[in-house]
Amino acid sequence: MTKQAALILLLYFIYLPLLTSCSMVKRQYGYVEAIESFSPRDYHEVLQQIGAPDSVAVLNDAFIFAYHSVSIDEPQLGLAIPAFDLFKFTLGSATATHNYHFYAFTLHGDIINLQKTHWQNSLGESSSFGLIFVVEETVDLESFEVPRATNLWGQSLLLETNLIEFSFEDIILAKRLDLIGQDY
Amino acid sequence: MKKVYQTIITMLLISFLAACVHYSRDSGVENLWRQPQAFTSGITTSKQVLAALGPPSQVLTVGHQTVYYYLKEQVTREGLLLLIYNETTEVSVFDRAIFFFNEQGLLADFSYSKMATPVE
Repeated sequence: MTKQAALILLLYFIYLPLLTSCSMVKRQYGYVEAIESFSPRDYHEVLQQIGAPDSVAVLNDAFIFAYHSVSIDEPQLGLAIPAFDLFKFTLGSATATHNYHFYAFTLHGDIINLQKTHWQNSLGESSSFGLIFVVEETVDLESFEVPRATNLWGQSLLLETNLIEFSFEDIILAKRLDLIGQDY
Repeated sequence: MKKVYQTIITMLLISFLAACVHYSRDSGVENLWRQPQAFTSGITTSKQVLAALGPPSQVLTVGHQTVYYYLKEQVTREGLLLLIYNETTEVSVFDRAIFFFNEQGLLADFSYSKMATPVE
């Protein structure tokens, strides 16, 4: 092998990594502790076992505790664009893993119903174009980045009652559950 | 030949150039409930909770009980950029406290959220 061929080979191996790049974007929203199955009699036992709920909803004759966590994995593959050294084309997909506990109580605090579930769902596949040293998002996760309803509760009390989408009573009484990644 | 090797080594180092990113933001109330507090069911009043923790994020009515719900959201993002391989991790922690008061304003029950890792 000539010196020139060896040099070309070396340069090839140096530039090979720059042709593609891999990224892993991980997100974790909330935390639900893994617990053994138990049969609570009232909300006191649920509070003691699992802690403060992620969301509380109050209905006419019941109230609900919801515990919800979501973890999202978004692997990406970046492809170099010839003649645009500083830019890359990125392909990615995202999968969400949910952990959800639901407890319903009478207004006196006795348990009515409970359910625990765990599931995965795809959030889609997409692509983006960006700088090689920036990890771009390829999947729209805007719904996961909105403030929690609890932190907007005080502000929502100042809304003009004639213009709001939901009844003022619904806001004050918190009749809906605020789940991560879903519109409130 | 020495210059060639120097150039190759320089380019090799540049190709493995690393960078780190980190940011965090908080929203909601201050999580004063993580500091030592002396709340006791049946004894502590709603006024004492308000004095200790400040105004709640949300106030609810459950039957004849009043509920104070506190929430602090902490978002932290960390990333390692190696060009060839990049990894970023964003963690949103919802630190919560909930207090139930009876009609007399006495604490009926209370609880804090369980955390994966200790929070500040």
